[in-house]
Amino acid sequence: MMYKIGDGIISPLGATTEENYQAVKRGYTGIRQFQAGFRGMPDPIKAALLSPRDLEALAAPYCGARTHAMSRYRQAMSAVFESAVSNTVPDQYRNEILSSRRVAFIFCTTKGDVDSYRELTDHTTRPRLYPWHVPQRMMDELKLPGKPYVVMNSSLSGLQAQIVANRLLCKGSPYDFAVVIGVELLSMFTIHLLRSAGLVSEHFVRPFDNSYDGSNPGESASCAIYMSEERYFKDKKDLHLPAVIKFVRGVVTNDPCYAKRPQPEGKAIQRAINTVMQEEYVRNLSFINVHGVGLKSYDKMVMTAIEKSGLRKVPMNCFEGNFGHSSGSTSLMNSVLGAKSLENEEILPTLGYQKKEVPGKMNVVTEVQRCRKNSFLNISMGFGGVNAVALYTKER
Amino acid sequence: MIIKSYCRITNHSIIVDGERLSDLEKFMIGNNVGDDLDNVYSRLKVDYYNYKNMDDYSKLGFITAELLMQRNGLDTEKEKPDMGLLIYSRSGCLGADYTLVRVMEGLTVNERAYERVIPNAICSSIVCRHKISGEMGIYLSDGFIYEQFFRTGHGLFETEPGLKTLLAGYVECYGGYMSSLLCLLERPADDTLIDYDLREERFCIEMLRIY
Repeated sequence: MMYKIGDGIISPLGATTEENYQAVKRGYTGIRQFQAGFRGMPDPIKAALLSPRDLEALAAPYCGARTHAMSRYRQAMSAVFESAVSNTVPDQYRNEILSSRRVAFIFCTTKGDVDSYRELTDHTTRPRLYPWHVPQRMMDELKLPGKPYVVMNSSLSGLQAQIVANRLLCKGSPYDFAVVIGVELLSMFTIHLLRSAGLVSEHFVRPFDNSYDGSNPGESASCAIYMSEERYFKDKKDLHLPAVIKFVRGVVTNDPCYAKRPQPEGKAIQRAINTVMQEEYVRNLSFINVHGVGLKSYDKMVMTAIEKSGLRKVPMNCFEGNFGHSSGSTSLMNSVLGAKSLENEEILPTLGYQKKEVPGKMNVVTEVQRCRKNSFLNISMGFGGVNAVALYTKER
Repeated sequence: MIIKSYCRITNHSIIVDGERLSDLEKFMIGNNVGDDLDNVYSRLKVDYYNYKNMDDYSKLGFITAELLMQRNGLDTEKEKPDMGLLIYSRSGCLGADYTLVRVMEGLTVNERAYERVIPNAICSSIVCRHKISGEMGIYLSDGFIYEQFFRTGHGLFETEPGLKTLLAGYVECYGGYMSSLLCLLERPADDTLIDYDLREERFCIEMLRIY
């Protein structure tokens, strides 16, 4: 178990967790129509893209005078870390997070620095093409000690990175804090990849929809900073926080025979849900946040799994209509927004959902709801038959 | 966690639990990684439907896992919910990424090139072959960092009571270089070592011995 002490989100909807939370609450979307030729794209596309100018401005406090010379990926990484540390981390921990050896840095992405892919060759590459290189450079430049942990696992990297953080903060480990950073940007390379995989829709994304397949690609950067259980109990009396979000448990499971298409009943998700729900009663669940891969077959699978796990009546939401599909960062962003919802005793709506189209009478939330329950589940899926489920609770 | 068994493959050697497999090694000529791996695969008498579509990185991981699982007599048809798979790499699927770039630029034609660009493609091939349904994950770092390997693997055993065996290790295949080490890791039968640092130190010494 670990406790969240800071977070940050940068997306087309805002540069802090609070701005993004308020935007989702009001039903805003960052998805726009871009014409052919924009950023060299051959076809028109609906996507949620970060403005490079905004990103540079946000990164400048950490990257300094050389900000403009850095890649967008590097800028986003620094900017979201800056946003989390400056806006949310309690004062007494700021210096420690920026200097202590007892901080683990975990980065999650699916393709890393996607702007440099044209520089690839078949034998050697520029170092920044290695997905661990940019995180290492960021840590070196900020004089953060240690080596980064870089998690790459399809769309659920953000959730898996938090599960890894939880393990790195286990009893006796050399760490007191874990900083989880997820960045996903779009380039011609990723758009081509998403198109080939059938994930890009010409229509605005409508979660849990039966009529359209695919999603709208998105760019975002997210960060969550956690503290170990041991350290939390040691410092608890000095923290003075009204409520703190606890990462209780996370599980990754796999459907080994369904690498290309999802297992129809979502047996691996059911197994993950059942394992995680050993720690919580269903009646305490405020909501379930779901992040798919933008395909209706996956939506159906997760809904079947939720229904078969006895969670059909628990309110469910999805933020794909607000931010698009930004692979490695999305599930981390969902966790941060879900945690904020618990703190505010609210359930955020699912933008773009139309009630009539959901099978199995699922309880998809379409308007902001008040809820005083203390826990939520985060479910994420990815290609390759892999799934992740995590449970968070609020402690006063 | 203890190393129950391991398989190590380099450009010119194949070693399983300290024993060199010279009958397979002789097919590794060293001119082309892909051809060498295909030669070894053909001698394994395995018929996996998707092998021909894999990139060299996935082929290396697949063959290393196959040799290790065969040596330990694990049934490929039996589902293994108590087994997980973690792979560490330096380049990951950069080779497959390059193929996709070439497809985008019209230099080659491969409609399925995108499949191997999905970062966990190597894992999905191995878990499909061996029906591993526990956790799977990919970690990238500047080389094989034993401390990271220990901390993530040990943490997985600590937080997942249902996990009995972990198939984990390093797979690197890019630019004509290949190196893999996959281990079958288990919980120690006599868990008397309590100190985290001591466990880590002993594990890293063991890794130094075999890698």
